Amino acid sequence: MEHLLEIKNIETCFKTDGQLVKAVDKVSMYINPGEIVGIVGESGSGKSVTMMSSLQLISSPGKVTGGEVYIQGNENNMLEYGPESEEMRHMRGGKVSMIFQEPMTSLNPVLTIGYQIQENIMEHLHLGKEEAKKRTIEMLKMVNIPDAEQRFDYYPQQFSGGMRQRIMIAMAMSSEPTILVADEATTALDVTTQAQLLEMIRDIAKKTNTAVFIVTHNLGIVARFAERIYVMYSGSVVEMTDAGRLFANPEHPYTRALLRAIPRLDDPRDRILIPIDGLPPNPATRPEYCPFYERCEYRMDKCKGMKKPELFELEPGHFAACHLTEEEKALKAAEIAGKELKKAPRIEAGEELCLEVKNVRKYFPIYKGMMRKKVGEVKAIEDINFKVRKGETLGIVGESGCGKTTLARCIMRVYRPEEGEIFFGGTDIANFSDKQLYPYRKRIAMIFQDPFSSLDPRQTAESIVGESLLLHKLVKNREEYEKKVDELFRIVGLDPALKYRVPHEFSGGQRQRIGIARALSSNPDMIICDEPISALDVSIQAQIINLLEELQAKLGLAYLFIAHDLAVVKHISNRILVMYLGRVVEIAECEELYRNTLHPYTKTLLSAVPVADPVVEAQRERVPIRGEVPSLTNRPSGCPFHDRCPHALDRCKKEVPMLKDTGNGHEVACFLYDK
Amino acid sequence: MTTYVAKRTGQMILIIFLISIFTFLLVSMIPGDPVYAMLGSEISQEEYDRVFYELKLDQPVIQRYFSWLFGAMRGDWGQSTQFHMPTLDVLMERVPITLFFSLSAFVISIPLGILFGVISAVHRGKTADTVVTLIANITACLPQFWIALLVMYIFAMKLGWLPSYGFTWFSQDPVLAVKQTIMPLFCLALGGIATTTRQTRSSMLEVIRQDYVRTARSKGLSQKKVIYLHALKNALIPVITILGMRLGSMLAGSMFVESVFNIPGMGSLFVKAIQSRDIPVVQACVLVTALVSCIINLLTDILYAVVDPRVRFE
Ligand SMILES: Nc1ncnc2c1ncn2[C@@H]1O[C@H](COP(=O)(O)OP(=O)(O)OP(=O)(O)O)[C@@H](O)[C@H]1O
Ligand code: SF4
Ligand code: SF4
Ligand SMILES: [Mg+2]
Repeated sequence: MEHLLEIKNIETCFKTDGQLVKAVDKVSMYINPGEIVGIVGESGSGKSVTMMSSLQLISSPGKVTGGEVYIQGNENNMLEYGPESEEMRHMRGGKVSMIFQEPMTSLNPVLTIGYQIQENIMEHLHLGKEEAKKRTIEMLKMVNIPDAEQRFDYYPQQFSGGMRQRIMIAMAMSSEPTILVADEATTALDVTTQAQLLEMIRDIAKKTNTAVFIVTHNLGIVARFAERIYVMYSGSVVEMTDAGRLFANPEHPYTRALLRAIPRLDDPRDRILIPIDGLPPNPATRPEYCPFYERCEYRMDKCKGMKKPELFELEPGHFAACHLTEEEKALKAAEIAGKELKKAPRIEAGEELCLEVKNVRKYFPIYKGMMRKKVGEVKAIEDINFKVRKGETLGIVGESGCGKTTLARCIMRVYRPEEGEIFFGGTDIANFSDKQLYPYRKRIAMIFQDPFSSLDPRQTAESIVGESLLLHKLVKNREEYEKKVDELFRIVGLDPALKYRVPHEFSGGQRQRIGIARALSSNPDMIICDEPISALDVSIQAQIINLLEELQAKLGLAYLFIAHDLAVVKHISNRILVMYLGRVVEIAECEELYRNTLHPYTKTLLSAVPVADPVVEAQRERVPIRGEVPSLTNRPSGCPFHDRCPHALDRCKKEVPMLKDTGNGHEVACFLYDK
Repeated sequence: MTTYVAKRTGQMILIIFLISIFTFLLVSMIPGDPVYAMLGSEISQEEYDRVFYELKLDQPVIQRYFSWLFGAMRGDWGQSTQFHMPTLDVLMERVPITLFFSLSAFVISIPLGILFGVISAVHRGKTADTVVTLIANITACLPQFWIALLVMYIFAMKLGWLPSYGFTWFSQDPVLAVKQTIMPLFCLALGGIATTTRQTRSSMLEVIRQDYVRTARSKGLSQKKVIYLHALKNALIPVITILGMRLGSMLAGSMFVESVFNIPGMGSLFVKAIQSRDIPVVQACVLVTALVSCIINLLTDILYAVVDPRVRFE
C-alpha cells in the first residue's frame, strides 16, 4: 500500500431518459498523508462525482459501474463492500470526511449543531455522550465559534453562512479523519470569508497531518493552497502535476487555454483574454476520441482518428492526456503564439459625466408582528457619492449584503432613495415620478446575474430582445423591427436564425448574450451589469467580458459593473468603487487601487483574492481579517469597519469618516489619511 | 416558546369570540320572524309571547348576545325546543360519541400513514412502494359513503358478521361495542391513512434529496439513523401542518359515517336540529365544533414549533 487513498479507474454512470451517461470515465487519483491536493475543472467536469463515487455516496439514478478504491488499513477494494456496509461507513465519515458547497443547506435545520457534531464523534470515536459533547465544544472553539458552550444548543439557521461552514469544518474534523474532502466548500462565500476558511482548513490539516482534497473551479484557490493538482475536463483527468509546474509549464492544451482565458488580479492593464471557443461536450454525446477536440487549438487530424488519450507521464510526476508529441505541441504553440491577437479595444473616457450620485441613502423598514409595526430599519446604503463618465466602466465590489444591488436599484429607480440626488445626463431623477422617468428608462439598461431566471421561459428570444423596441416605439414598422432584432443578434454574436427559440434551448453563455442584446435594444447610454458572468463557466466568462468591452468601444457605453470577483472587475473597469456595509470606503482608478491601496478594508479584500500563480502567491503579503461582517441592522457606530480594523483609532469609534480625495482622483473614507 | 404559546392562545380566544358572535347572529339571520321560523306560523298568541320572551327577543341584540355568552360560559346553553331538555344535556350524550370516533380514527391513521409513507419512500420504485402507492391512491379517491356502503354490504348483509347500525359504549357491552365500532372506524380511518401515506411519501422523497441528508450519509451514519432521525424529522413538518385539517375532516367524516351507520352522535343531532329549527342546539353544535377545531389547531401549532425550531425564532 503506497498511498493513503488510491482511486483507480473509477467509472460512474447516470441514467437519464433511459440512456446511460458516463459522468466520470476511468478517473484515477491518489493522495498521501498530510498532502493538499487540488482538483480543478469546470462545472460538470466530474469533480464531485469522482469524490462522491469513491465514498459510495452516489444515489440513484447514478451508479458506480467500475473501478477500485483502496484506503490505508484495508487490503480490499472498498467498492466491493456495499454502500451501507460497516466497512464503508467506517471509511465514510471516519477516515474520509466531506465538506460540501452549500453552507445554508448542508446542516440539518431541525437538529442542533451540537447534536450533529456529537453524533459524528459518537459514531466514529465511540465516545460516551458527555465526552463527545466536550470534544464537540473543543472543536467549535478550534474553528473560532465564540461562546461555544452556549451555542452547542443552537440551530444552524442561527448562524451566518461563513459560521455554518466553520461548523461543517468542525464536524468533519471531529472524527479525526485522515482525509478531508472540501468540495467547493467556500464557493458560495465572500472572498474574505473564503480566504479565512481555507487558511483555517490548511492550518488544521497541517497540524493534524490530515490530507486534504480541495475541489474547486477556481484556479486561484488551487494555486494558493494546493501542492499537487488534477485538472479535469468532461469526466476525465487531463493533467496532473505539482502546483508549481502546472502553472509555470502547463502541458495539456486545455490547461493552457484555461490560463489564457481567466483574468488575474495582477494582470497588466492591456492583458487580453482569449476565450475558449464552444462549449464542453454534453456527456451523453461525448465522442470516442479526445473530448476536448472541438475546442482545442492544438488539434490535429490524427486526434479524431484515435481513441480518447490516456494520461501519459511526460517527465517524472507530470502527466497529461494528449496525443501530440512534444515536437508537435511546440510547433502548434509557436503557430498559436504567432497569431495576431485582437487587441482589447479601449476608448478613452471623456470628461463628460454620464451619471453623478450624491449623498444617496436608502433604508428599508423592518416590520414585525400581526399589526406590522415598524420596529427598525435596515440601513442598506448611506452617503453614496460617485461619478461615472461617458464611455467609462466603474466597477463596484463589496461583500454580499453590502448594498450593491440596492444601489443599482436606486439608480434604476426601482427604489426611490430616501435622500440624495441622482444626476443622469445632467438631470436629477432621484424623485421623478414614473411618468417623468419614462424617457430615462430606455437610457439605462440592466443585465442580470442569472441568465436562467431573468428571461421569461415562454418568450422567444426574438420577443425578449425586441420587447423594448416596441415599448419605447423605437421602430416604425414590422420590417424595421425585424431588421433591428437581427442586427442586435449579430452585435452580440448570435446567429439571427436562432431567434425563434425559447431560452432553455440556449446555453448559459448564449442566454447571457440574449440578456445583453435586450439591454442594448433601447440604445442606452449606460448599462448596469449586476454579476453578469458569475453564473457562467470560467471558459465562457472570457467570451462575455470581451463582448462587453467590444460593445463599449463601439457604442461608447458607460458600464456600472457589479461583481464579487475582483479579478474580473479589475480587468474590465477603469475605476473601482469599494463598498463596505452600505458605505463607499474607497474609489480609485484600477491600477492605483491595486498598487497603492489605502483603505484597510480594501487591503484585506485584495489580499484575500487568490492569484492563479503559485509563484506570485508565495510572495504576496497577507492581510488577515478578523471577525464576521456585522449585520446592517446593528451597524457599528463610527467607521463601519472599526471593529475589524487593525489600525482603528479612538476617533474611529465615534465619528464616521467621509470620502476624501487624496489626489489623482483616489478617494478614501478613513481617518488614517486625514490631514 | 412560552411567548409563542401565549400568543397563539390569545389568537385562539379572539377567534372563538368572533365565532361566538357569528353563531349568535345565526338566530337573526333566519329569514322572517324567528319565533314563527321555529314553531311554525300556526301558534297562539300566548305561545308566541312565551317563546318570544324565552328567546329574550324584547331585549337589544348586544344585551342578548352577552347574556347568551355568559350563559354559555356557565353551561347554560338554553332549552332544546326539540327534545324539551337542556341543550347541554343533549350535547353531553352526543358529543363524546363523535369525539370517540374521530379521535380514534385520527390516532390510528396518522402513525400508520407515516409508517407506510416512509416505507414507500425508502423503497422508491420497488415492489413495496408500488403496492403501497397504488392502494393509497385508490382509497384516497374512493368516496367515503361508497366504502361505507360496500363494507356494510359485505360484512353486515352478505356475511352477517357485524351489525349494520347502532352504537354501544364499551363499558356497557364490550362485545357488541367492538362489533359495532369496527366498520365505522375502518371507513373513517382508511381515508386518513391513505392521505397521510401519500403526503409522508412525497415529503420524504423531497427531504431525501436535500443536502443535509447527503451530509448525514457522508458522516457514515447508519441508514436507520439517516432515515428516521435526519430525514423523517424534517419530512414530518408538512405532515404536521395539516394534522389540524386531518382531524377536522375526521370530525366532518364522522358526522357523515354516523348517519350511514345510524349512530347517535353529533352529526345526526346537527342535521335533526337544523331540520326542526332547534336554534339553541344548532348554536351549541357550531360552537363546540369551532372550539374543538381551534384547540386542535393550537395543539398542532405547538407541535409544529417543537419539531421545527425555525418557527420559534420567527
Ligand atoms: N426589499 C428589501 N427589503 C428589506 N431589506 C432589503 C431589501 N432589499 C435588500 N435588502 C437588504 O439590504 C442589504 C443590501 O442588499 P443588496 O441586495 O443590495 O446586497 P448585495 O451587495 O447586492 O449582495 P449580493 O452580493 O449577495 O447580491 C441586505 O442586507 C438586504 O437584506
Ligand atoms: S489529443 Fe488532440 S484534441 Fe485532444 S487535447 Fe491533445 S491536441 Fe487537443
Ligand atoms: S477610519 Fe479607522 S477604523 Fe475605519 S478604516 Fe480607517 S483606521 Fe480603520
Ligand atoms: Mg446582489
